[in-house]
Amino acid sequence: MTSQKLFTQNFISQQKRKLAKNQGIESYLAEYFSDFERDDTLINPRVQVTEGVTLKVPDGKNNYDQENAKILFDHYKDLTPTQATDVRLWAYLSHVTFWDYMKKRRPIEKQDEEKRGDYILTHWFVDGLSPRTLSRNDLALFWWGSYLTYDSTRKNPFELTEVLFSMLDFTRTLVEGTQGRYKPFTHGLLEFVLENKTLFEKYKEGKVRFLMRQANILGGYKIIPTLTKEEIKEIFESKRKELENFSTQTETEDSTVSNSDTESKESAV
Amino acid sequence: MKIDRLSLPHPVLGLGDDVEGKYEPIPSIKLGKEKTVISIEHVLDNPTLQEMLVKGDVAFCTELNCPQTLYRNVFMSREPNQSVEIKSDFLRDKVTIKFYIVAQEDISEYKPKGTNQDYGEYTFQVLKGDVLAYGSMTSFIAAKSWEKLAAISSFLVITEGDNQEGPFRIDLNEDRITVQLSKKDYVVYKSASKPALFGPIFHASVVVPALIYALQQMMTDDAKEQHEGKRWFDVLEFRKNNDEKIEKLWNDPTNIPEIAQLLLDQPFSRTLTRLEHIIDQSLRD
Repeated sequence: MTSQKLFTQNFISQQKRKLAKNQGIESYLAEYFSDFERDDTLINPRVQVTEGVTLKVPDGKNNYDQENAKILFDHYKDLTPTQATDVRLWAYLSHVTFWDYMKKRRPIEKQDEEKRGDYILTHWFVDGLSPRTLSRNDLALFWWGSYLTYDSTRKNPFELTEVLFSMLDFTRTLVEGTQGRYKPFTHGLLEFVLENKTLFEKYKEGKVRFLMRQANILGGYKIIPTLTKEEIKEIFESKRKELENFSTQTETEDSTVSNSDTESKESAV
Repeated sequence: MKIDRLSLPHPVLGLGDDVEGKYEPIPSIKLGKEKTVISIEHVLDNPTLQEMLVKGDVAFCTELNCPQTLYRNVFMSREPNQSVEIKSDFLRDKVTIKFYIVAQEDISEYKPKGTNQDYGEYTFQVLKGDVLAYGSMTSFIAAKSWEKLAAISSFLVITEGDNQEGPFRIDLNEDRITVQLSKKDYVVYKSASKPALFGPIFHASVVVPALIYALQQMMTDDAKEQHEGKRWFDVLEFRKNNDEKIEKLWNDPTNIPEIAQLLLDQPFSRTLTRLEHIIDQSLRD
């Protein structure tokens, strides 16, 4: 076991300033990231890790998000939430430990030249700490998505993690949104989808968005964390008829209604 | 849930003039390395809700929300004095606390004593989890101790800039106010800052101007939109809200230099004291 290395805040600030001007891009096109000195790193003795962990490298057809979330969270399971908000950690892991993965997952050469700096800032760093910026860094998203969904009482403790990473809507709305922070809500939603595979065979994205909108409307006047996971699932169950009758037309109509609903209820949530 | 902007289908104590009486929780927060303890005195004055609390039909609901650590949870109690303990590892930076009284089960024909006459003879069907009273909201900055919160490092950091020489720059776009010294100055700063002897001198010469600039920005109209959520902004807001003297001075920009010096505990006086000490030492040597 060895102490986890981090980049210094000083180094990160310097890198960010360069990238904001779209400079220093060539370092990110190299075989490995070498644009730092030993003094640009420090160690966190409170975080002990075993060396040699690797992530599955995307191959153009599959990003292996589900597998990689499990690998990364397993490796860093002992991080406390405050340790997992350390932007220096995610910057180091993105630039050094998991460089090969990041190069394939977020290929910079595919971005327009003038946008590369911003692209790197968004995905290689956690640029300003918030749920949104944490979810824009893939490694941080793997950890936080697993943190919200890992359930040691299940036969497969990563069962809900697999559901979370099966669809972008889940990660975006649950990790970034207020409702998702309440773990029973996240577990309730994912379990409901898992337990009703047939119901979600068609129009899965639309139906999940529909349920999230319903949850947001409910959250506008009810304190969601006062509800148990089972009560939350009952609420989703009460929408079964609407889900069964869901179609692309329903999605359009619902979005139109919800958009005008959202305008008046936006400040409520 | 921004309940103070809602009109619910039943009367809510604490929202406008829906119901006579009051629900005014008094929280106090104890920061610790291992745990954070929030003690709440739930001050309630409405006979109907007080009776329902005793019967168990309703309960006090304290909601904690920490966006930075994706933490959100509620703590229920029927006691007027509630203590909530959370592992400090779960909290970082701004934590908001909201206070409610919620129904613990479905209640039919609900109409609390002192309901506004505008509701006429109507009674209300209330469902489990519905909000019946709102006791407002407060927030605190999670830190290992109050001393850490008062420390300059909680909102400001000095780093090496890009220029070889020249004046320092101040960046407010990061989580902490970032003072970027020239490379030449940074080398000297690094070796001079190791003995704590020169701390007050750095406070007076570097931190004060940076803080004055940040405070000026905080008093602009779009400050909240631009900077809320950044640690420096939240910490300085919190310091203002918890210091009567600073709060009184706050809304007048001409008071900014004084506010900065209060926040830094009179840096110039400390600098002069330290210089006196250094001179004294050198004369003895």
